Amino acid sequence: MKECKQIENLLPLYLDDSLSGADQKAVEEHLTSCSDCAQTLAQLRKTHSMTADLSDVEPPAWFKQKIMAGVREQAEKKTLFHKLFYPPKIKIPVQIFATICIAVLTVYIYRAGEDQMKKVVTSSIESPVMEAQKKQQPQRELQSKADSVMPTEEAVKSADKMALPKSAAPERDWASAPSAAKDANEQITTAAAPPADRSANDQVGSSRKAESIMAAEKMDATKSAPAAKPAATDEVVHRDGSVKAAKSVMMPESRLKKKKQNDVLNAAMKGGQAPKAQDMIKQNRVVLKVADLDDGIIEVEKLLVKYGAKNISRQTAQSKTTLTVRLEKQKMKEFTAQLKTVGQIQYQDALDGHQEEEITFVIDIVSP
Amino acid sequence: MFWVSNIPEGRKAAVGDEDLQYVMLCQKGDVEAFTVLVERHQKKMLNIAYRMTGDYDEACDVTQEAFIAAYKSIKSFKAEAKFSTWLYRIVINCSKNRLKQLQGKSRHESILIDDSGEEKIGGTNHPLPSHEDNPGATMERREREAHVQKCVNSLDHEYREVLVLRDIQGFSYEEISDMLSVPDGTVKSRLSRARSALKDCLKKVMGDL
Repeated sequence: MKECKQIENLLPLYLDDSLSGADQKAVEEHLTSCSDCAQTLAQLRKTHSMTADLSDVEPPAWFKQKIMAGVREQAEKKTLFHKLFYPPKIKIPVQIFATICIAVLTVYIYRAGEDQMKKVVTSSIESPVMEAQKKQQPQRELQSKADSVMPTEEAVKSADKMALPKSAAPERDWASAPSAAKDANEQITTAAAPPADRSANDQVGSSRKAESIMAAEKMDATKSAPAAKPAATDEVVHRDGSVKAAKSVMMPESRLKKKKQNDVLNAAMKGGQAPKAQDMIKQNRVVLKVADLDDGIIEVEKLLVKYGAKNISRQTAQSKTTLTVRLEKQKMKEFTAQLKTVGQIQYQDALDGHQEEEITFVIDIVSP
Repeated sequence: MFWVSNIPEGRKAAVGDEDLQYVMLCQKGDVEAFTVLVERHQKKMLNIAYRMTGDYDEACDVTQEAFIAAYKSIKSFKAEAKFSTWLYRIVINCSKNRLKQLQGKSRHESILIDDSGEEKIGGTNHPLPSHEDNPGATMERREREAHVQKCVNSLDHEYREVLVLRDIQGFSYEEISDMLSVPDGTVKSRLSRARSALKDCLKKVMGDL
């Protein structure tokens, strides 16, 4: 017969007949003679009945809905994950490939952009002028027709309209200029065209200069408040070609230069490129007429190398090549003198008066 | 109906689980099929969690957490056991994790005894159903159940889980063995100690059995 201690260990499983046959029999035999173990078994039975009799708790209201809300939220997260990465064998390599492509493309665009920016910087000198010129061309045609038909009195009225609103405006307040003044500005843009006109046109001379001065005079009419009336009167007179020439001769040289710069700036302002216009003032332009364009370019480039020019960029048009270069100011005069051996300098801006040690300037090489 | 599932055909026939068709729908991405499974098992899950944690509110949270965890990993269910067994294993594990968290924070009190001597389980008024018309008998029953729950809560987790599953929820040794992933003999030895410990605790709490 087993000891009570051993039997007590078997009693908990004796409750639900979970003991092996031998243990079951040993317990039954022991219980017949041991009252303590029988009492322990009774206590165990009571405990067992108490635990088995425990009431079930009921789920709270909307428990299923609450659980399902959580489950649905989880399912949506899973769906998003699946959309992005499922099936992983296909999507992950595709995503890696796409990322690499984007990275390569970004680097390529960035590098290409650098080159294009250089081109843009050189071409931006002409672009507003060209744009203004394009606008001007149809107007010029209309104006020439109108001039032939329009009586002089009407011209006087239109000039008055241009001048009157400006009487209260400050001298340099171009942005607040009324529409009449804008019309005048559009006419003035012909003065901004000279560099482009010169390259395209062989007939560069006193008549062109006279035209630019005339336009500058018109600009004065729109800007200068006290001198508005007299300037407007000048405008009327300028309609006549012969008078224009006379006026141009009477203009002092220093004033001519100032007007020219203002005209260029004004043209740029009309193109909405004010910062570029400021650059244009600083840049200088030389128009070189050569017999053979290719030979001329080679000769000029040799000279540029000889004088240690920097940042040389070239832009070729039909019968014209534009070189934008940067040169030390000291070498400028000597270089210009050498340039005359290559071809005929038809037009040259004042290259002095700059504070910088190096000057950026544009050489237009044209051939007949 | 044509099913696409990771549960082998042979396994389906062998188990004969009523939940299996809904499980397979869930595995195909049908969320609404899970509603049926929730409806079928929510009460059992809640009661296991309640007896494990001893707190009604905690039990509700644990049950919800267990269902969400089950849905997340439902694709890994291979029908090696009944779905309910798999589900109850999850709720047991969630309950044990929650108990560890609560013990770690030292803010879990299984039974609060107020000044009047009336005991409340987990400090919450859980909706225990009333079986008797007599209020005195109901009160006595509630008190007795509170004593039992207090003693259950005093057991170690490994003894508590076998006692809850076998004596309170009435699962077979085989099912418990599957749920806890322990051998049959281990379940029996743990249960034996759990019953003895519970008897000793009740004797201490109630005076005499």
